[in-house]
Amino acid sequence: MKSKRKFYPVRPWWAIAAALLLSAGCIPSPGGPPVGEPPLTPITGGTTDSSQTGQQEASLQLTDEGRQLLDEGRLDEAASVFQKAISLYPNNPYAYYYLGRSRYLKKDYARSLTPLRQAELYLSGDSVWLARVYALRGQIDEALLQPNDARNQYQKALSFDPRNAEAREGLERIQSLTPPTE
Amino acid sequence: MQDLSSGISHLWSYRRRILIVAVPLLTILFALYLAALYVIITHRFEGQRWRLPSKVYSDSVILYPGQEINGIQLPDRLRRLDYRPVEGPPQHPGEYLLEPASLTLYLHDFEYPDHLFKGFSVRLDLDNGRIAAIREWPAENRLALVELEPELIAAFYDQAWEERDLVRLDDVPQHLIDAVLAAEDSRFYQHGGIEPRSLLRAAWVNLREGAIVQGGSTLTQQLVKNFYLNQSRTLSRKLNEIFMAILLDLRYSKDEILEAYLNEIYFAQSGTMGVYGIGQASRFYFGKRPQEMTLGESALLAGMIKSPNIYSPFHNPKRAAARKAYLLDRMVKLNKIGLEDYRKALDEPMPSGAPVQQERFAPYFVDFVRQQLAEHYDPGVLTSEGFRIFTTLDTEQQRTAETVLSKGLRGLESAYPHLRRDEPTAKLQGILIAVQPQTGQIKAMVGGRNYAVSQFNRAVQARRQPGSLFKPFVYAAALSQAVTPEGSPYTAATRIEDSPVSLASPDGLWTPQNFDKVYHGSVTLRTALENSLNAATVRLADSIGTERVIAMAESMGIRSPLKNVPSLALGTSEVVPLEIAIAYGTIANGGIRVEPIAVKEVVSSAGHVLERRTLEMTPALTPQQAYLLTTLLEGVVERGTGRGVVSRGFTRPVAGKTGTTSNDKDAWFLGFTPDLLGLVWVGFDAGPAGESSPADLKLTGSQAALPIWTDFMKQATAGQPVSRFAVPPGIVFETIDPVSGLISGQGCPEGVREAFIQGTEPQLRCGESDGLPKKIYRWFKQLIS
Repeated sequence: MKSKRKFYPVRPWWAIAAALLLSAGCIPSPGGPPVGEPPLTPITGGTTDSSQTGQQEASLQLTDEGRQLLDEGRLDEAASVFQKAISLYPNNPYAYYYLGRSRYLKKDYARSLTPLRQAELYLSGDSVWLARVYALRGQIDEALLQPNDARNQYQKALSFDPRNAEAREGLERIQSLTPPTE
Repeated sequence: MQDLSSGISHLWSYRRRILIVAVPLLTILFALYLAALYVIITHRFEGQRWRLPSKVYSDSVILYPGQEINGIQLPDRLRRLDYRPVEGPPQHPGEYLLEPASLTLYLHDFEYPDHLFKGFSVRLDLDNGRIAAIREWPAENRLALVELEPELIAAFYDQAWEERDLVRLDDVPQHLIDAVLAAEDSRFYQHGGIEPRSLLRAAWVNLREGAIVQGGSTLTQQLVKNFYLNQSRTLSRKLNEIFMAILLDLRYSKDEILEAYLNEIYFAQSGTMGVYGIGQASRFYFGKRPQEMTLGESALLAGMIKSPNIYSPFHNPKRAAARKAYLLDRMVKLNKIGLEDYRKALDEPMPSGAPVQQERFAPYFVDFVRQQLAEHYDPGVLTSEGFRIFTTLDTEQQRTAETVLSKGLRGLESAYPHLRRDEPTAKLQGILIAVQPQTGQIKAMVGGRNYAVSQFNRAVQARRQPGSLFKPFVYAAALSQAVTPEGSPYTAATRIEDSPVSLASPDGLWTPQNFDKVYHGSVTLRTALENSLNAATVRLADSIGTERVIAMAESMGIRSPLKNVPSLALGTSEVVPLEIAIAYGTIANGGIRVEPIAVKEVVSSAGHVLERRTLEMTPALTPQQAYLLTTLLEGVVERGTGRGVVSRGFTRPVAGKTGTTSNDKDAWFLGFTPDLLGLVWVGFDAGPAGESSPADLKLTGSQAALPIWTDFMKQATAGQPVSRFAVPPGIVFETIDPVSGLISGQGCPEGVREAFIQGTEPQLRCGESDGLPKKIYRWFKQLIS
């Protein structure tokens, strides 16, 4: 049986350009989270179960601690804390998002995508955060030299939140690399 | 006369010659003997002095507002973590005050893999047994959570568990050093390793008694005896001890010797664990580090060295108090303390309540941890390097699992006499595994009925037929990869035929039967799975292809080889229980398979994280497909073969499946809430080396395994928030007529609510004709979707 997965060939011009941009610092190379992280808000509104609220808040608190570690570049420790946050409240989308981010920052691109799928699942309805998830996916696709996928993700991110800077910058980068059509 | 004189002279000359030869020879031999002792001394003293066992810890527990303290067995956890109740506000780490409306707790210091946690005091406001708020105390800052340190559950050691917390002399308070020297060797800093006067006195007493009853040992000699020699009372051992003590004293400084001594001495036995050295002893007796000890505590501890059992404050408080008083008095006489210090130390309270005995805990889980680590570490390293191994085990769930399984098996034997066996190794067996689906963390694992009788861990080492537990993989393959013979995607409402079927197999024509030998004609996928219909499932597997089923089972987590035969659909291929738990976890986790994790971190004795096992996630199903399967398995518990779960009082959102093998040898139940997955298997072992097949169980999964599962889950989830299965985007609900599989309409108002992946829901209502315009509309809609 043939695979139905799309195949994106890596053209030499793209690989060279991406490598040049990475070395010049144009693609946000791993090194720290973006400045001005938004606050983490309770995940599902309307719960009356006080124990679930407490569980969520505790999990968000851990996620915040993990963000601090991420900010300090302590990626392994941060990943452990995000996993602890997930273990405490498995529907915490932020913990999945930052777990994916910590792996991206470690250049562990292949393993950074699946946590983002979980983040997307539990974020349904929050367009700003969904845009962040898609923007990060775009960055990962860029790092994996998948420009078409990256473009799609950035566009998707901007459709959810037109103010998402990472997606906008990413899209500009991709478009600047697109070769003139014959 | 001359002859005599010549004879004597000859003799002398002969003796002189012997002496001339013997003295140097003996001198050389003695020098060699000393050299050998010297090598022994320096080799051990300068190498690794102690074989430090690796310690295995459970997971930590996070406390947060809203939690029920009895649900998480907080009082028991505190006791096991050596927290002690006090009458007033806690002043020291390890103390707590439980009042009707609050629990004030002074947390222990704890060295986590990434940071040293410095204990502080917190207050948990309680409201009807729930934590209403957590605050720093007395600062009153509100906290979102507090983490209770992990519990020590086991150690990997060579022959005996000698637990030590090594200390440097600089970290030992002077009054503790003075107390030890006052107790054991007040002239330690003056003598040269031995005290000749004491030795002579001891020799005289021994001579009088005709046996060795006194040793006259200095502290250096005691160190030599414990460190290099054995406890035998022989002359040769005593001579070795004396010479080694002299050499040790010549070679090393007094402080080096004292530090080694303080880390070497034996203080207590706590279950399987021996308490050695003042670092571990100060924790054991007072819940403190040595530098935090008071003068009174130091005197008490030093007094125990002579005979730890006789002078233990836990076993003989009066004798311990008398010994402490004697030592304090001696310290005054030696001008080490003043009278004021003496009086204050004498009035200090004695420690109360012996710490929890360190007994063998979660042995199957610990074996599994050891087996996993053995892939990366030499066994000798694990028993000597003092690693700290942080695991995922939830001690409370583990305790519940052990109790519930043991009680459940006894109950089955009582209810069904054919299950009773006299021979311990032939008795009815069972396993229980609890896993968090989102992380793969193993929270509890019981691999058999009695570890003392059989160490075979059936949870990870046995291969058993899963029976109907395998069926969801058939339905997963149908819902995710296949289309019906009519070309439309399978849904929970798709109709399949439940009628007798015969298929060609390697053993000839194979004709499976339904469990009750009743066939139901055309049924929905939901009805077929909820009622575990064999014929319908076999037809479905045959329709979509067993290769697809195998591929799906493997992608969801089954690692055991699966035979490509028609009976695969009914679970005839043997699997490892943990694999099937992980595979079901894929359904519970929105279609993402996670690798099972028992070990989270391995930390060296120096505090370096050697290994960190992270969450490994692989997509196997879409969230929508996983959700459909979840709703089907919810139906099993609501209406199908698993309905005993609800009738036994487990009312949380739950999905599950029973498993009974056609050969009557295995009974399973596997169920999950959004937060916890549990698997129970009950059956008999195969004969030794597999020469005979297991005895028949003749019970279904719902009879044998489900009650144990329900008992476990009720207790394991008590006090935890109630979670619901999250509905992913792209799912729509329709009310379906169970007979026709169409949307309920005027002609068939009764229906069941069914979930569909958007675009796969039925388009027709009961009683409506499927005219050409509708067909075109449906074709077009499917094309778009």
